Amino acid sequence: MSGPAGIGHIVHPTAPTSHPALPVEPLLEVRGLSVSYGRIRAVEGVDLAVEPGRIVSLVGSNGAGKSTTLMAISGILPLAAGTVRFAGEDITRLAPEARVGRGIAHVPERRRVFAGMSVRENLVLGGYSRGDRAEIERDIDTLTALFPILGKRLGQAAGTLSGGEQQMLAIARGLMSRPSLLIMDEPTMGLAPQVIDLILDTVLEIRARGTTVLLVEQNAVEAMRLSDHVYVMRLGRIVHQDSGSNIDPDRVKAFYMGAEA
Amino acid sequence: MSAAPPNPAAPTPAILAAEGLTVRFGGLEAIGGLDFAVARGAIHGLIGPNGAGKTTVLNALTGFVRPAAGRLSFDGAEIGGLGVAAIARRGLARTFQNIRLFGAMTVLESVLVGGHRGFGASPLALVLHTAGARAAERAAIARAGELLDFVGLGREVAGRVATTLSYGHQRRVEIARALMSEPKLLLLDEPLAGMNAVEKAEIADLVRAVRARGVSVLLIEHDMQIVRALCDRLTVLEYGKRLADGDPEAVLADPAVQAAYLGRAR
Amino acid sequence: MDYFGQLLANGLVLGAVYALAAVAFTLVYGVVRLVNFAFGELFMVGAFLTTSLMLPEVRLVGHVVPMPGFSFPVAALVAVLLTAALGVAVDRIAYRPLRRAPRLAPLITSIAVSVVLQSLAQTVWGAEELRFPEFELATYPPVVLFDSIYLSVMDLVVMASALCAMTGLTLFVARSSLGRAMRASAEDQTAALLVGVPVDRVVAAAFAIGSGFAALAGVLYAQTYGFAHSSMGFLPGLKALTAAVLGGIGSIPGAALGGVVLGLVEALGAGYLPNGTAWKDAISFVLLVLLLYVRPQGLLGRPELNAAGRGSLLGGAAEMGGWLRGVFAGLDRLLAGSSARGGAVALGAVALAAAAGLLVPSDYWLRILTTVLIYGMLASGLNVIVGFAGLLDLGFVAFWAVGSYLTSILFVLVLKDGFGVALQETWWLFYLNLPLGGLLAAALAVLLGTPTLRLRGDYLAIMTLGFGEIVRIVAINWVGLTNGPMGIRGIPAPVLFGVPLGTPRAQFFLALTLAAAVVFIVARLVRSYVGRAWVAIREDEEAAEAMGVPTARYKLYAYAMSGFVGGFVGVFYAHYQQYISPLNFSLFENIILLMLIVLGGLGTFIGPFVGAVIWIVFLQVAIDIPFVQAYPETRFALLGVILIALMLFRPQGLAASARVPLVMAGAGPGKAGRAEGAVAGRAGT
Repeated sequence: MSGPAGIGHIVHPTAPTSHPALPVEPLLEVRGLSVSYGRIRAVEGVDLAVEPGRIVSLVGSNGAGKSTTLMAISGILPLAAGTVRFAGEDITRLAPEARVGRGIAHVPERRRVFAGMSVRENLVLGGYSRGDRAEIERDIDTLTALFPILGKRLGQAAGTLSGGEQQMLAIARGLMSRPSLLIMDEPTMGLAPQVIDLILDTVLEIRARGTTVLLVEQNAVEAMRLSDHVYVMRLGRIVHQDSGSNIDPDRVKAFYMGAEA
Repeated sequence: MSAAPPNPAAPTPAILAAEGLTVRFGGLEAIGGLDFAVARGAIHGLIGPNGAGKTTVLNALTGFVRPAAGRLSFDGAEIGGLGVAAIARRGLARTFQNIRLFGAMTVLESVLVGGHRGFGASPLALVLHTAGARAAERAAIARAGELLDFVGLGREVAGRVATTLSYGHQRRVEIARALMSEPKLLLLDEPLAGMNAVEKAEIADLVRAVRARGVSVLLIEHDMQIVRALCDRLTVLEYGKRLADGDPEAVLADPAVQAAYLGRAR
Repeated sequence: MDYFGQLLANGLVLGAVYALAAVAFTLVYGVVRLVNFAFGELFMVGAFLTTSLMLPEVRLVGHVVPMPGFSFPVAALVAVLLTAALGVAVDRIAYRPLRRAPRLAPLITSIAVSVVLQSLAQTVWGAEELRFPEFELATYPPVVLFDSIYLSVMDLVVMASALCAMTGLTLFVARSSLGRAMRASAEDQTAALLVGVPVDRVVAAAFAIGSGFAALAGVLYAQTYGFAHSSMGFLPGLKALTAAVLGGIGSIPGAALGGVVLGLVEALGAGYLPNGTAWKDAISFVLLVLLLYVRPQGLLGRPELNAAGRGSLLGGAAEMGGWLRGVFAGLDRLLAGSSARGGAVALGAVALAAAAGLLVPSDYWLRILTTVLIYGMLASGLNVIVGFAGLLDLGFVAFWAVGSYLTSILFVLVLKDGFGVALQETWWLFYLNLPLGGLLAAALAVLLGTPTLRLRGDYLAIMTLGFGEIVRIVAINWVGLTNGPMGIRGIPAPVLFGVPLGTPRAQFFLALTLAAAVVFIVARLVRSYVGRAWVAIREDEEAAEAMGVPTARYKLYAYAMSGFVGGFVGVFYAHYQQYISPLNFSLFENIILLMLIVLGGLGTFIGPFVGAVIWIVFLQVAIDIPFVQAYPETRFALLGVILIALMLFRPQGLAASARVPLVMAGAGPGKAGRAEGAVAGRAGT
């Protein structure tokens, strides 16, 4: 895997994100997770583990239950069954905002930036759960160095940004809480190819800075290339998993295109 | 039991045709100059990756969204700019991505709503229960019963509140409700979402049976296995534009289509 | 010019009060999309608390209680804080559990909360006005501007406090962390949760601030007019809501602008229009109705706020306690069994009612039973539009009023007073007036319904409320037509071929006949494709439209049917009471009717009557309890509390399982049909 392009002008943070040294146990561990919408079981018995310092991705065709799984991990959707452990703590019953405080940031599908608010306000809100409000300005500087385009648009309403810029803002907003795990849901959806490259480079850069990433990505080819571990979902279940280097692209393709596997 | 596949080579006039269909939300162009046609008697698949604009196309066809440009013709008449109910009354019925049955209504009542345009008794006739009003009601109930049999639910569920049925059965009620209007074209928006493999196969059989009744079908679906097995023709959307159109096997083997789903390597 | 200047100044003072209260509506609506009708009552509570705290002693629930006698600023501050806490408590108890419920549920709950607060305030502080105490600031000489415009020092205080509060709030929302979190929650609650905003606490803060603002507005209003009273919050509350809608609900600068505009329009209208003071309330509502028609999003609002609240009317049953569930399960079985045998049960009910009419010996109880029937009929009419078509109509009493006034004007003002006709000779006119009143009301309903077709949910409720108030104000002020507030006396009791039907027993049977006719007509329409179209619109308007139901037309049918019943019953009501006045047709009556159908079960045939029986009988029985005798308004508080509890635990009402089959009687599949279905082949699979 070649080194990400465009990283040269990124200013590294003065205080890199650090978390307590963990044993080999996973940072995030999901066991038997099931989610229902009314009578529909959208996700059934999902087990997954995300080890610290890694990029783990969840791929699968539309409607496989990927976003639902992420929303359950963040506490937005209630679990029908299963447990979620994070950094050794059972967080299954924790309120969503408390999970942010524990170090989980979630960059939702379709970005969901606060469109009527300025870029700066979006970033400040990203740091809402933090105790060290004084550090917020410094982190905004760091992130605008990572995403120079956001630096130029700090005063602009987020709704007026282009799709790619909104995605960068959504990622930056997530990073503002100084998470140890960044959950990203379809960060490249609907973006132009050059922007997709930039976003995927950013994912690598985030990992390089010590933040673990759980990624849902439709672009399975790229997800397999940049992930340490890949889970494939279909019809609400995990149907296949392997390390990023071992996974068989043809098998994944079969899950997507419906050919005989 | 499934109907014999029609000969896709036979030239049949299109039941539905879109020319240059364009939909904008604010400044954003969701659908840009889309051309496609559904042949009479066909099961036509409309597919594409998430966010490609499939449901927007469906909403434009059914009048929920007003197209910014383009022509929509249905059964030989222009329907662009007509209201939702007016389009439905011309014989274009639909189901919804998230099943939208009427809460608190029984299965029978829900299906009868689908036959709304067939009723016409005056309020006075309804209050007086005239012979005509009663006959119309009885005929409609009989037809609803036939449709419940047809979709595989059977008449014994007629009195159940529709939203208390299992998900797969709710989908069948929704299809029966749509068929009650005697449509010429049925639009199915992800009818298989959230179902297991057995249920999927059953609904696929049902879709074939619908076509065998002479109703053309436009289907949005993500499960490629089913799409491959079910559709006579596919239109693939990406970024609101037509990426490919044609025979399912050929379309799904197209590298551009595979890249749209799986992504392109850098 | 001096006159104009003085009106302008008055308008600004009034506008300041409206603006403050409008902020309460707008802030909470912005964050949770709830029109909290109870803000008018929090306005009143703020006024009462301030007044009480400034006095040395106050009579509370009949006991003299010593009070601290604070100065005005201290008392006002404490009152604002206490009211803010009350607002948060109301949210926590009554609204938060309904956050994901369909929109009608919190709306009706907020109406119930408002009834509870108003009744409790009347219990605590009494039915009389509490005079606002004299205090030093108010004794200063007025300030004179341009030699001719007089503004008291307190007028200036009112404007200054409003200005400070609005500026402070604007800064708070724009700059502070909590304010930012509030805006984020207003835009996208899920995204706000994902960045770590505790949305529940932010909503509580919005309620606290909103309630505090409502209280401050109440305090300023009370000191301007020199009193506090339990119903004082009603009209200003509506005006503030109007101001908030005018400015575009959800927008704080919009609320300020709306308040000032409304204050100015009212003051100038009162000053320049002929008999303007009498019509000034109508001016606000006409403005509201016109605005909602032309530009529903208000002056500064966003159009998407006028969105459909999809989903069932009130939502499914919430989790409730075990024993309660047992009780309701028994009731449900009973009612479900009875609704399966609709026709027989209906005949049985009429027979039972007839037997009661024959056997009940006392005229007193016959009158009560007649009242039950009248309320039941009216509630049945309202039920068509609210219960079946799912459109929350708060202007239904107008249709009732139209029927009553039509027959009263014809009989008393035209025939008797105008032509000197002896009314016994024209007895038949009553029977003609029944359908005529119904048709006139139906025509009015269609007329008023048409502009509401584009509106949904909360805006629809607000617009119909505006219509209802306009009709009532016209009835009060168009003295030439209606005799105004004096009402019309001497309406003759019904006569049939020379047989007077004036006795309580005869009136009861007449009412029973009419009730049977109303239910019969409504039932026949509902149990057909028309009723199915209504329920489909209620449950999912878009899906109904996609099934080919022309929803606009069927909404108008529902208005017409509802209006017809209202007018029809109104005609009888006038001849039964023999006296009507605009007081009979208040919004409060509309709210009571609404509560009765919610209590009994929206969208059922017996629900309205179940609600009416429980309520009217309870009203009479409870009055014998000594405490209730001393404080009769506690009954309304109890009704409100029961309604809130129902909304939380059994939103579908008591008689919910008496669900109405929407298929023509006799045409449905009987037992034979089912057996046939069971053996039928499964063609689809």
